[in-house]
Parts: sequence; structure tokens; C-alpha cells
Amino acid sequence: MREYEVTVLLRADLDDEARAQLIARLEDWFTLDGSEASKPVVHHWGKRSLTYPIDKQTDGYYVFFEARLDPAKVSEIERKMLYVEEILRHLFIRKDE
Amino acid sequence: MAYDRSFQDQDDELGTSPYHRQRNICAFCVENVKQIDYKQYDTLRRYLTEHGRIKPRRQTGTCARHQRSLATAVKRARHLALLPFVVD
Repeated sequence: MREYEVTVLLRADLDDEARAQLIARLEDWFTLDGSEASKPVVHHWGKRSLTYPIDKQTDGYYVFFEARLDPAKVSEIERKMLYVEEILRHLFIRKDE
Repeated sequence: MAYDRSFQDQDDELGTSPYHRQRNICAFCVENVKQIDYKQYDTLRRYLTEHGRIKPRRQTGTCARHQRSLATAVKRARHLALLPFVVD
């Protein structure tokens, strides 16, 4: 298991409910087993303007996770994220780096 | 001869001599930073030129180790659209 910092950039035009659902889904992906202890810590950076447009969007909603993940699973999670259109960008960083 | 040298030294201290400019000190070494954080993009902004390029070490005085770390941090922040790739 390894500590990761995951930043996810969501579309800003989602309504609150859709966003909450999506974040819950991400949280689920970042949870190893069902236990409370393995759940990620979620920080909402909120809506910020982007320095360059992505998919014709000028604003984005940033969510930052601190998660313990199985390194072998990271690429799988990343692949799943690519299929979610509401995610504009994502970044996985190992915490020790 | 002795007079000349002391004159030069004095110039150095004042920072007025064009040939002996005072060296900048790496701001990250002063702060004792281990790894530069891509999340602090406001701080990183100071190390970009007005066109969004990373400033060279000779301008900012950053040490080699921190310059490498800085470059990585800037590139991570750019990916997340926290910093620009280009400003025109």
C-alpha cells in the first residue's frame, strides 16, 4: 500500500447533486476494502478558473484526495477515470515524491 | 595593489560593480524545502516569465536541485490548468 495524492478536475457546470454523486463514486474507487480507515480524505478546493480552456471550459471544480492505494490498482483506476467525461484532468502523485 | 583589492571588495559588498554582481540565494534552501509543491501555484508563478516559461536559474538564484524540483512542480501544475503553458 502506498500513500497517494490525487487531484481531480471536474467540469464546473455540473449541478451539486451530480457532482456529489461523482465524488462519492471516486471515493469508492479510492477505498481499498469497505472499512472506514481505508477511505480517502477529501478536500474540496472548489470552483476555480482554468489558466487555459479544456474542452471549451473556462472553469473547473477541483477535488483533492489523500488516499492509500494498491500501486497495482492505480493504472486501473486511471483507466476508469478516462471514461468519465465529467473529469477534465486527473493527477496521481506518490506522497513521498 | 593592496589598495586595488580592498576597493574591489568594497564594491562587491555594495553590489554596484557590474562585474561582481551579488549572487542570489536559493529561496527554497532558505525555507528548507525538500520537495516543491505543485499545489502552491501562486508561489510558483513567481518563477515564470510573463510568457509563462520557467525562469532560468541565473535570474532567480535557485540552486540546481531545487530548480529540477521546481520544473517538475510547474509541469504538474500546468497539467491541472493551475499554471499556464503559454501566455501570449
